[in-house]
Amino acid sequence: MAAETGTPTTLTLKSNDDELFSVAESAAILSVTIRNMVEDGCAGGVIPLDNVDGKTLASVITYMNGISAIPADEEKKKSYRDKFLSDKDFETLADMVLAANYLNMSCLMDAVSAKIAQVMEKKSVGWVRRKFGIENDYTPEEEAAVKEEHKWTFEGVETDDDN
Amino acid sequence: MSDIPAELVHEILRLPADSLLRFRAVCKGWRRRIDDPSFIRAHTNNQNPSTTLIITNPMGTCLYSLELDSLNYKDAHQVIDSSTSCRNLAIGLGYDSASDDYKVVRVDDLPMRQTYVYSLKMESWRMIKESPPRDFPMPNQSMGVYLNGALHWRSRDFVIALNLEIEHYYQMHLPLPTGQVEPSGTHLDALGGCLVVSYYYTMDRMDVWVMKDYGVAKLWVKLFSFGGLGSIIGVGSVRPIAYFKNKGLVFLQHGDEFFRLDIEKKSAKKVTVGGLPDNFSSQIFSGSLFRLDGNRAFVVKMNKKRPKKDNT
Repeated sequence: MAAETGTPTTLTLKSNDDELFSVAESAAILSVTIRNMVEDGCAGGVIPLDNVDGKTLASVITYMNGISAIPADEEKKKSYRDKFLSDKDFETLADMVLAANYLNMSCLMDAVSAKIAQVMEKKSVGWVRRKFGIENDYTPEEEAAVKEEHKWTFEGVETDDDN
Repeated sequence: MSDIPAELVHEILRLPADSLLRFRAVCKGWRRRIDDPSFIRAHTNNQNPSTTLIITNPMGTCLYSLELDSLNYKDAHQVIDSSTSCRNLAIGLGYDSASDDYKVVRVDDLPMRQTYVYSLKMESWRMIKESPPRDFPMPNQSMGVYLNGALHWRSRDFVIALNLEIEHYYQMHLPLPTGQVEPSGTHLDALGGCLVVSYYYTMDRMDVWVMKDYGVAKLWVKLFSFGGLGSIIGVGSVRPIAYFKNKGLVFLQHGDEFFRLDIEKKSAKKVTVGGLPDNFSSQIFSGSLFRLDGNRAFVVKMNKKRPKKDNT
């Protein structure tokens, strides 16, 4: 571990599309995956993150820097997370949940999961199928029957082209 | 976005119960996942406590539900209606996780104390073996408080509880009131996963106690004390129905009105609800996936003179 005085240790992270990012070790070790690499002494050169693309990694690093700059104040951290996620669309959130999972960042994972749930809450069945790339494997009769079972849950759902 | 792995879908499905029930229609895999008992249990434990208010009329024949956290207090949704003219000593609604069933409990006092349980699964009433002993007086038509798989009623300085799984009654002590005079009123509630008792003194002050560790009667501690309630109280009593510790907020019911109290600021805001019966009591439930589905959940049928359908 970096215990030297003076300049903080910087790590270089590489996305799966070969973008390089510099990030302070103190911020990067919010990722348990990266922390383990640092502790195992294999963070000397470039740390390859094979499951994260550059766009997502840039976003994750913004989050790492932002959240680690906040002192131990859970309220402030929470409001930072809320603000950080407020303008992200579903696709970005989905990429981030995968990245947070791969990087083993539970605070980001929790926040993104909660945000995704918030986005999905009033969405239609058709919207979910489209966004998750899920093929409808019900027959029309089966689907009608499943919907009939909890008909009231289809009230107040956001309108959608293929609801 | 097509490549969210299945195990992550599980992680992000932290949705309210109604959204999840809707998304059973997404595909067979999602339906299987959402119907899975372990998912249902995990979801129930994940839900924020105290989000749904269950409201009943004094006869225990109508139940209404109202979402507390949606700030839309327009209309209560009627979930159960049974037309009964029985005189009930005590009533209550609770969930039995062992049989995965909601149960409505009714204690009749005439001519003798008998306890009837309505199963939403079985769609029928039946009498159970035990009943509260007669030397434990119970306020007439008192609404049971559900917590830890049991319904609780107050009886003088005791709590009488009915375990809904084994259908067995037991008793616990209430804390001793600390006022200089006898409390003029007492209420029992379950707030934030704990048994809570409120003592009222001459309609001006209330002391609210909480049982920190369920079943350990010695562990009653005072949660908060309110004085100077004269401004919002006419007659009758104010009841805490929800306590959000981290926000310092208490929801109170007073007659047919609801109040949102900020403990620190000592301010009260009135919340008006439409569509309720004239006379009602209320109780908090968490949103859960446990089934109240189909026709069976919405009508409690009486066992007496149940009309036969296919009589020719």
